[in-house]
Amino acid sequence: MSELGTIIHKAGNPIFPLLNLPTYTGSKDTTSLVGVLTRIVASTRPSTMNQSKELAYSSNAITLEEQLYNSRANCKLKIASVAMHLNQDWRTRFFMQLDNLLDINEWDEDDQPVTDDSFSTLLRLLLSIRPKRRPGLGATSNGHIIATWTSGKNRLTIECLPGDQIRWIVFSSIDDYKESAVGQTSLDRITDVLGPYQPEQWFDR
Amino acid sequence: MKSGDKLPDDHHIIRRIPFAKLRKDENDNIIGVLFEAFKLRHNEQTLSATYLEYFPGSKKEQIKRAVWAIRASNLSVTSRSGFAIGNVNAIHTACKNRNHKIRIVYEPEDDNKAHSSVRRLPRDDTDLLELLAAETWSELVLNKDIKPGEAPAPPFPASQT
Repeated sequence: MSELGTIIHKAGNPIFPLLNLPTYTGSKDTTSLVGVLTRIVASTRPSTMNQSKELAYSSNAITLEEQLYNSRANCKLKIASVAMHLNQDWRTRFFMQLDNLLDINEWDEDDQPVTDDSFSTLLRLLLSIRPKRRPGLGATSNGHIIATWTSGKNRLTIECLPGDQIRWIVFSSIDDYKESAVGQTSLDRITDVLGPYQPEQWFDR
Repeated sequence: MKSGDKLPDDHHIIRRIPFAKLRKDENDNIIGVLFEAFKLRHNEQTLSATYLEYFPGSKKEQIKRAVWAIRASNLSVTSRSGFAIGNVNAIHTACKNRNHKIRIVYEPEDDNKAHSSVRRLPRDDTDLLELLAAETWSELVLNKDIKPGEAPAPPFPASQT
């Protein structure tokens, strides 16, 4: 079981219905970490949600607001599981981006919230390339998270697909000369495929 | 002008873009449009937009009236929504250069008499959609920058009144 998996198995915590995990009783350290994670998740909870709505997490009656809550919570839990690789300011600002992206007041009701599998790919992408600049975030209608970096007119767009697959799009414009490229590859190939496009212009500034 | 008529080349269309499909920087400042903003959903045959020159006045006035009409329609316009504006001929040309023969037509609907449709837009040409987002259909207006208010589009285009 992973460290995060161990932590979140603590019984009686409100995040468990989201994760559908079996009961676990842990050490004092584990209890403390669960408290931290619980506060992270609680900070994303819509103020309009009441107790009856919270109970809905344990049933199949999931509204869009609840789906977005689950999506935000799951994304933040995944980030927390690799917190040691990301500095606190980076994480805090990234959480705010997720809150804005998955805000019920902004979400198109016909779109599927960001899926676990897609977000896992994004997180592994970020840990792989270690960009100094966080990406801008967007989402597709079918629940794939999109990471973007923009340098002037040069755009890098990455759609995170399940299973460590990514769809990448480069659009560059230098004076009147324009160049674009699109491809799909696996995560372990991303630095190779972006190499010719000087990716430091997006990641290092 | 009747439903199904092609829009003139020098005219424009405006499309609502939800926050999730706007391009942001790392601090969530909105800086453009994502390719996904022009991607057809599985259940869509055409891409919806609003015909800008349907409304009278200067371009600025047309944009305001078009946004007010979209706000008054069945579409959900949120505080962080944006609107992308594109020239009809430029969109045609971008598609034609990639061997897609699209049609941009006036197609009024009950909740938006200024509605227009982009027909035959390919579903899977990401390169084209990124070109539209980056250059061709990329003039961006933010909802927060348009004066509060909403008003349905009038029953006839400005050119017929």
